[in-house]
Amino acid sequence: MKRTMILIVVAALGVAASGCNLTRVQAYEREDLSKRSMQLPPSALDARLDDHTYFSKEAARGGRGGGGGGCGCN
Amino acid sequence: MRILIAIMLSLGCAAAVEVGDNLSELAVPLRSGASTVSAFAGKVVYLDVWATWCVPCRESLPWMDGLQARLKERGLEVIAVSIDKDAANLNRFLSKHPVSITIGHDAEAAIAKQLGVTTMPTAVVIDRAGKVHAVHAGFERGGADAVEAQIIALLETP
Repeated sequence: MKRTMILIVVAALGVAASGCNLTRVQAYEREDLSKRSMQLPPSALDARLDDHTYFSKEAARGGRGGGGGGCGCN
Repeated sequence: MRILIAIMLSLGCAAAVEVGDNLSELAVPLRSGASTVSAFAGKVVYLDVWATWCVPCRESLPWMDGLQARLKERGLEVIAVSIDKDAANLNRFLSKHPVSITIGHDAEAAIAKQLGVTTMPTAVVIDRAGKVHAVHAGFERGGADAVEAQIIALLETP
C-alpha cells in the first residue's frame, strides 16, 4: 500500500513537473491562432465602426481606452 | 530517483538543436521528395523552418532567395521547409511570390519538433560535414547581414 502511494506521488510529480509542456502552444503550432478570425477583434474595421457608434450614443468618447473629452460630438 | 528523472525527461521539452550536433541523417521533406541533409554533403546548408502564416518568415523569404543567388556558386544550399498544414496555402503563396530556393513541405511539422523549434522562423546553418554551425531563431532584416557574413566565413572555411 505504501509502495503504491509512493508510485502515485512520483507519477503525479512527474506530470506536474512537465505541466507546462502539456499545455504550452509551440511556435510551430500557431497556424490556427494566427488566423484573422482568431484576432480580438477579428475585424479592425468593424471594431472601429462599433466603437464610433458606442461613444457617439453614450457620449463617452475614449470610453474604450482612447483619449478624448467625452462630449460625444465626433 | 533515476526512474523519476527518466519520467521527467520523457515528458519534458524536446531538446533543441545545438551547435555541433550532427544533422546528416535529418529527414528533409522536400517538395520534390523525401531527402536528408546528407544528400547535400559538401555544401553549406541554410535550413529554414517557416510557414506562410508567420509574418517574419514571409519577410525572410526574399532575403533567403537573394542569399541563394549570391552564394550558390560558392557552395550554399538554402532549403526552406514550410510547416503549413495545407499545401494549398503554400502553393498559393509561392505562385504569388516565386523563389528559386529549395522548398520543402512538412504538414506535420516533424522537422520543427526534431529541431526543437521555439521561434518561427528558425534557421540552422549546417557545415559541409553535416554539423550544426549556428542556429538562428527569428528573423530581423537588421541582423541579416551578420548572418550572411557568418555564412560567407563558413563557405571560406576549407
